[in-house]
Amino acid sequence: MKTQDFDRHVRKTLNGYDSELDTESLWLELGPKLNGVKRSAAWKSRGWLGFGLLAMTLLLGGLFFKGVDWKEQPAVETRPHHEKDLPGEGQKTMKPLGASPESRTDRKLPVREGEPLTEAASNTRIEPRRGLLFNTPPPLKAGENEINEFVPGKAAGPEVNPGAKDDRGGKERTKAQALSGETGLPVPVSSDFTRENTLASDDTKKDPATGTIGYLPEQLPGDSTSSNRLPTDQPGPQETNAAHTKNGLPDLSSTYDQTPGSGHAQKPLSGPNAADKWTRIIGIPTVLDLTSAKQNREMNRLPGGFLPNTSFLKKLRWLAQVEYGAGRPRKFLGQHPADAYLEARKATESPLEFFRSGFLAGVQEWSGFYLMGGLAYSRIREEFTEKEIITASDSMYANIIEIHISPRGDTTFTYGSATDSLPLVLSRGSYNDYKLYDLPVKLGYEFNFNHWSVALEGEVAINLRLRARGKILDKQGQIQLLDRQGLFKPRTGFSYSGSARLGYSFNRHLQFVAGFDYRSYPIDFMLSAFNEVRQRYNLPGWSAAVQWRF
Amino acid sequence: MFVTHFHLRAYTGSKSSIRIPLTEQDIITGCQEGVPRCQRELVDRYAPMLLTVARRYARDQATAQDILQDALLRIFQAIPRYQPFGSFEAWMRRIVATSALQYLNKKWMRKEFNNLDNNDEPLEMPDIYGRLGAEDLLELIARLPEGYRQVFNLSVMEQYTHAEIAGMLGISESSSRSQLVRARRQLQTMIANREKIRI
Repeated sequence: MKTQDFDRHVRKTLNGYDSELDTESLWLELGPKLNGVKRSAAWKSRGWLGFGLLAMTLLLGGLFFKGVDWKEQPAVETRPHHEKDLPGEGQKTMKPLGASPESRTDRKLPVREGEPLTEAASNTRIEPRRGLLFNTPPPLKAGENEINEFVPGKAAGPEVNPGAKDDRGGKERTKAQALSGETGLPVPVSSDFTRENTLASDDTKKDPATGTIGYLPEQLPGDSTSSNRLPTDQPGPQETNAAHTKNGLPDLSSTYDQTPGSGHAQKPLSGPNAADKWTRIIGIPTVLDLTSAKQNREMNRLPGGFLPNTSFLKKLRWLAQVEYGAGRPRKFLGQHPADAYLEARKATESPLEFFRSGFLAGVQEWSGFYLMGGLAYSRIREEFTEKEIITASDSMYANIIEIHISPRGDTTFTYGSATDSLPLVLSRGSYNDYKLYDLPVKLGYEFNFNHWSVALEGEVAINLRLRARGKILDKQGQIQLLDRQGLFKPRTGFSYSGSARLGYSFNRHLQFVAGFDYRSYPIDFMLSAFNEVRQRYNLPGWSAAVQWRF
Repeated sequence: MFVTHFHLRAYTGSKSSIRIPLTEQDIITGCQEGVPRCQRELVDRYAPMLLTVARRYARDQATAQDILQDALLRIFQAIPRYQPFGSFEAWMRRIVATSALQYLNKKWMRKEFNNLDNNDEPLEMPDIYGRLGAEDLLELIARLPEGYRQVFNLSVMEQYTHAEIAGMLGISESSSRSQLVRARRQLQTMIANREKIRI
């Protein structure tokens, strides 16, 4: 025998030969070791996705809460989103709604007793925590012209400290008082202090005894209990600017409403306006707030209004967003002219669900437009059902299987089991997966209403890769694997989508948005060389995102 | 909802007495999804065949079973990345062969390679192999020296080239060739002795 024949004989003998093996005992030994590999790659990818979302959320939360002085943090911060980056914005220190009365009494306010109050000093306020003096703009006169003419710092007096920091470590800004007066947005109480000065000059509510300005104890409207806890042993001149009751305590009913139209004769927030109080507490916009927010936006759009000499880059803020979405896909299978193959495809494939996740980063312009780009991953899942007709045998027992009639007419019944064969349709289901990796570019516009926002956005995504996995019928009725080469395109080209979203801002940085999306893949998934059936998808669904604004 | 790649209810027969066999694709996809029943089905269906591969490399049955266990673990770890190009069985056989090579002591094997001489003379034998069964052949292959056995398996059974074998075992191509010749000759000799035929 030649060498090649010998090798071939050995191969033929051994290939396909099954050695005797007790697979039961092998499985008993092997099964426990498989615990580590039981989770599939798909579950691992979902796990990584969830971990990524969780890590991102924790990271964003950690960045936000880093260095927070909890005693001084406001329970609610009601402010427009762009406030931080707008130069000239008001002196809005946070109102520590949750701060204890003791923490308030600890504040040492610098008192400049005996000093005459100059005109510039009358526009200067004392920052309560650090005892720093800040310039405040002159009181706003009615009319937009004056608003437009306002330039922060123009009325700086001798005791201005422009480099001072606010409570959150950012630079204290000298926002036009008109802004806080006209926005209608609830303003932290420390800005009430600023406005108090305005009122003092306008409405002659300045303390005639000292002529000085002071710290207005921070107070919720209607919080009479905490007002009674205010110290009475520090009735320094700093506090004299607030309206006082007969017992020397501040009159909290004069906490101010900044409703547009109310002018400078501010009406008290506390009182019957429960909607405003409610807005202060949980940030839900009322009809009044919506109106005022609109006005605020209109004012912000005034060229040169509150953004004098500001470069375009300074009007931008950076955004980062992690989003996740899901829904039920709508599949389009079309062919012209339609034939039996199209019907067979439709009968065997039914879309189930889709998931989408992505990370986007971009910029938002102060007027509300934003542009983001990033990377997204989508997965469309559908069920493939293959049907097969098999023959099932069934035995029926204790039936008459024979009837014998004798020549004399006697009838004999024989009982026994009979076998019957029945056609049985065997339907077997499996999942088909289409995975898409996209580069989305998103353009949107956001309307802000205090904590809430509504956004409309459009997106175009360039598809980087399409992977298909599962089964499909070919024209011969045979089942083919989707990942067979030459069956599907390596990429679909592009997709576009539109969405409407509702957002809620927890603070100036962190926002949660959720809404509805409608995405369309207008280009056929399949290579036309395989068949003439066009396969496209539309993906209506919901999405949610955590957005961080820098 | 995500785990079951097919209707396990039909497979398990919980509501039907009909036991529907899984296709190879079902097993692959099920194992990729981590379905234990599919993993069990893979073991039941393919482990005996894979044990044959392991026995070709191992000296004894116990070693072969150790190799098989190691290889099955590798198969389950690697199956999520399996691409359906070529035969699934061939893919598993390659994993078993690789596992066997890594399991065995290569240092000892190299020592054995160094003492080889080249003798490419083919051995002419009468046709006695028809009476030789697979178990007999496996038993004789197991008696081959470790190095002979590995080169013989890689070359004859797995059909690797000598260059590939040299790369896998860390030896020269000439050593691989000579090793194969000697292994084949020794195996034929053992077969002949078994059949009481003198060459």
